[in-house]
Amino acid sequence: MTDQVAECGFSHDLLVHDDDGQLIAGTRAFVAEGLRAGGHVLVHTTRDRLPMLREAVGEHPQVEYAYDEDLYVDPMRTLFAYQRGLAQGPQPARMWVTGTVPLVADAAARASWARYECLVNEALGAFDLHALCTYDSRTVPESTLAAARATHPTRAAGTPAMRTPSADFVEPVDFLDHPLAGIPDRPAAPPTLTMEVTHRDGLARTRHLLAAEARRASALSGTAIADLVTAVNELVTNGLVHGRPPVRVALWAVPAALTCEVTDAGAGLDPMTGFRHPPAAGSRGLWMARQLVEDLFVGKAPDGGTAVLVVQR
Amino acid sequence: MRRGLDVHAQIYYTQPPLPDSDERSLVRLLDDVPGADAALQRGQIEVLTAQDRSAYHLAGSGAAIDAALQAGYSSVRWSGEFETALSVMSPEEHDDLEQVTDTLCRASALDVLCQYRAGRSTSVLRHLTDVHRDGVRDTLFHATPFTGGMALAGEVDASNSGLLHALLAASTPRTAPTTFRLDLRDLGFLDVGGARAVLDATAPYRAAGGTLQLQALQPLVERVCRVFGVNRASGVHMEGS
Repeated sequence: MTDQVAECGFSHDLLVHDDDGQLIAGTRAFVAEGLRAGGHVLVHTTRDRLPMLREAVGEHPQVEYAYDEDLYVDPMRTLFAYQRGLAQGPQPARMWVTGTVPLVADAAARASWARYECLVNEALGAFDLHALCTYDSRTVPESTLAAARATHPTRAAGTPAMRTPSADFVEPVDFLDHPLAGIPDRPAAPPTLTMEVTHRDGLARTRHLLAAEARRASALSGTAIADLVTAVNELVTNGLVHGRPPVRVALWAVPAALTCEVTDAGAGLDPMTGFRHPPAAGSRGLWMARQLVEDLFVGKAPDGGTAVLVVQR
Repeated sequence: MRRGLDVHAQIYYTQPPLPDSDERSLVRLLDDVPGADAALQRGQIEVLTAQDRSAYHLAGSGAAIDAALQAGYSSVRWSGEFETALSVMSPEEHDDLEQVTDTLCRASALDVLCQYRAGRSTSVLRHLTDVHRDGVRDTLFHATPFTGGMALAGEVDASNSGLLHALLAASTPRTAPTTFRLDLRDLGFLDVGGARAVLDATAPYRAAGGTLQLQALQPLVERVCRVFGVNRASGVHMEGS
């Protein structure tokens, strides 16, 4: 059997393990494959499990170990941090990464990491990156395992195949529609502020009003607010230029979070817009916006136009 | 106008023949400026109707400046729209007037704001930047050239990134291909289109060996530039990177 992926390319494998033995065997095989390919290998896990894994896999100049808590803080920031590192580093990247996403109690947080796994394929698929995501069936809820099966194109298969295509894989754009993706609806409460923008000359005033209301009604830092305003500006600009004015902006401000919805009656936007690198002309605004906020969801407005929901904390 | 009242200047405004009730007349434009009405009454603000060229010889003249200073004003401020001038003189005559006025502004207590409709070509903007040595502005931002560079103040977004592009394209080729400094200390906002404009407009200059130096970026602008990769483009040096 031949390897499912050439030395240069992208792979994103899932390994569900029932015990530490399977984890160690899978990790060792992956690390060996990466070293054979001349890659740089990163092994990350929780603080308490790293010593076990490190001892089992061993030391090597091309192998680096790290803690999840340092790398995996927010899903989207982690995703784009990887993208930036891959885009700005030596080409081809020859990067091999193995570990697991954080185990979190909260359903919304679990869904955000499920979306992360889904979007790895979209945002990092063009790079020479090989990832092995390991999930412990003893500690991970079944819903998380189901999401993992749907978001990984291949399953780790051990030598000599290394990986096989996964029958459970769901295309990213379809996974986002699935309940496991947990994409939030717009808040049910009335917005704190609503605005309508009909022309580019109205962008500045929109930004200033948004910033003022965000400062007044939330406890977010100046940086977080400034980044949200920049992101919303890109979305409104998109709506004016590529969508159809008037563009409506709604803001919900609570002390700990800002949610903003930008809608226009245009043709609609591909939900995958703004993940790939380099971003195509026309996607740059959304690509920038995604990196400035905690999360951003592209959907359809009730009347058929575009509705983009942005969350900032 | 507000600034002129603040500094106690003699203010002239050239407009086409219009009744006061017309929304384009200065009287109407100054509806919401406190003190404007009184200033008009006492002659501190004077409307010059452009029925012929004499309106243009009065305001921007040494005699007018002397008279204003004698009367206790600090300086003369003068504004009007380009289109108004074209109703009484040719573009070439207007250009001569601009050159003379620019020189007079350098040498004496005269401040002039020439208003042009947006949408000019790069070559026109290049010429306008040459003639207006104190810079070019629109509602949202102000570009002030200096030797070897330009300072940007205000905000750049989709309403004016085209103007930024034209200004940078117009300004960079004339500097010897060493370093063109962009002073951004007063730039409070730059969107992706603006970052794109900075790179695209300076691409020929950088390809010819020039270096674009971005200085004193505010934190938000710096974040946008870093994420967009402005600092990693060839021929760009961003302070702090």
